[in-house]
Amino acid sequence: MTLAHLGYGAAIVLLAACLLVVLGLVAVRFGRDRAELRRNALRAPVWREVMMLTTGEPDEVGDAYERLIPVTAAERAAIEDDAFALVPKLRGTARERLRQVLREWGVADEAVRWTRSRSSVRRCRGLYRLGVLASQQADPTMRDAVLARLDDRDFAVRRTAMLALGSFPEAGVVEHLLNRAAREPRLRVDFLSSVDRVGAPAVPVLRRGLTRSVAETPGGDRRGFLAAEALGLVGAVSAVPSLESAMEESSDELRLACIHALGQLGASSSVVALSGPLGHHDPTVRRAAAASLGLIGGSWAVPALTTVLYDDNVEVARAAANALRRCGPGGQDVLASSPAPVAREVVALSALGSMA
Amino acid sequence: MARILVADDDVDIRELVEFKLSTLGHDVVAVSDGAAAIDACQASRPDLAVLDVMMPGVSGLDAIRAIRADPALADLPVILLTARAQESDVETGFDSGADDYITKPFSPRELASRVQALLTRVR
Repeated sequence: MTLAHLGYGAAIVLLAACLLVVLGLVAVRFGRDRAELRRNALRAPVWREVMMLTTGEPDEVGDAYERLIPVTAAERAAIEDDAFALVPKLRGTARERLRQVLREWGVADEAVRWTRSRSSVRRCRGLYRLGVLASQQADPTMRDAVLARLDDRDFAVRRTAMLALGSFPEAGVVEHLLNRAAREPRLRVDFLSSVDRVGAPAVPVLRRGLTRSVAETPGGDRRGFLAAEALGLVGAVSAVPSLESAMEESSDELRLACIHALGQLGASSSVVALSGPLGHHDPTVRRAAAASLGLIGGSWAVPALTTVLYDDNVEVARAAANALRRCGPGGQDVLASSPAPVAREVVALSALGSMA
Repeated sequence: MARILVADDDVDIRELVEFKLSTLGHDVVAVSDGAAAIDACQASRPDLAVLDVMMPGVSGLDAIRAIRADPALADLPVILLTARAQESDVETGFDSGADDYITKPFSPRELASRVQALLTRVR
């Protein structure tokens, strides 16, 4: 056998291998297309019932519900992910009806099992699904399964658990969220998002967290900071006295959080408390106080803001001028008659804005 | 029966709105971005438009401005259906020329009622 023969043999083997790979890829593609076609064929009629369930009139909804409950496992699998994606986009009875169908299919138990899976992706999917299924009357097993994952070894799972817990409007849940977020600063945004969704039931826990933080740690700690931020976000006007009192004895970081929260809450009674920080040594605090007074607005804030139009720090003075513009006719009169450069700047920019 | 344009980049929302309005007997044209919405308005002259605000390319607000700038479409009733729920967002929506504003998550039946009410008012 010559070298040429060997070369031909190798070329034929290579060609055959390539052919096999191509045939394999074609077969895989064909199989997937067939599976997709089968899935679409299964999905279309069931999805139509889901549409009817979520958009229909009461009698149509009843019929759709009856037809959806006994669907086969294959039909269920064809639409389950889409149905979960649809729930958060709906409101009111449409959302509740779809949740009810999903619960009837037993997906909650399956999701609880997934939260204990070895795969972190599956744990996240389980948590997401439990968050979607949760409601006012959620099964405590679901809540406890999600709470347990706040201490998961994987950050993505902890984060998904934190976001999912926003769907459980219970004070006890908020306590866990606050503790976890205080220990792990990178969960701050997710904590705020969840507490915002919990709403009113979170307020007593957050107030208590803020008060305790200032009482137990000189200047307050991370818990207090997060509680103050969340109180402003949730719109807890009942927390105004706690925030005002915490502001007086806190670190600069916590003081800033309280100032922002008081501005967001917009209670006119906070004008006196917010006038104090206008004289603070740190320009960031003075600027935040001026901005918050602007958010509160009204004539009460005008005298205090007028005093900082000539602040040494131009950003503070500008914040005061912008705040005065939001204080109604009284503030606007002060701005119009003030010779302070920032006042003239704000008046000019405002005039330009109204021309556009 | 009316011809209604629906523009939303979220396929689920588009499908929901299209399904609900079709079952009420309306003729629905669905598109996925603002530019296509403007084109569809000029081509099919709908009786009402339901627009999302945050869409790729031309936003819903820009689409309304373009619609209002066209004399033939200036009176077209427009409903904004959007996830932007802040007070200032609603204000901006109405300032841009929207006739109604619905925030997501939404109730398809409520949307249908508002569509009916707006159609009745303009006819």
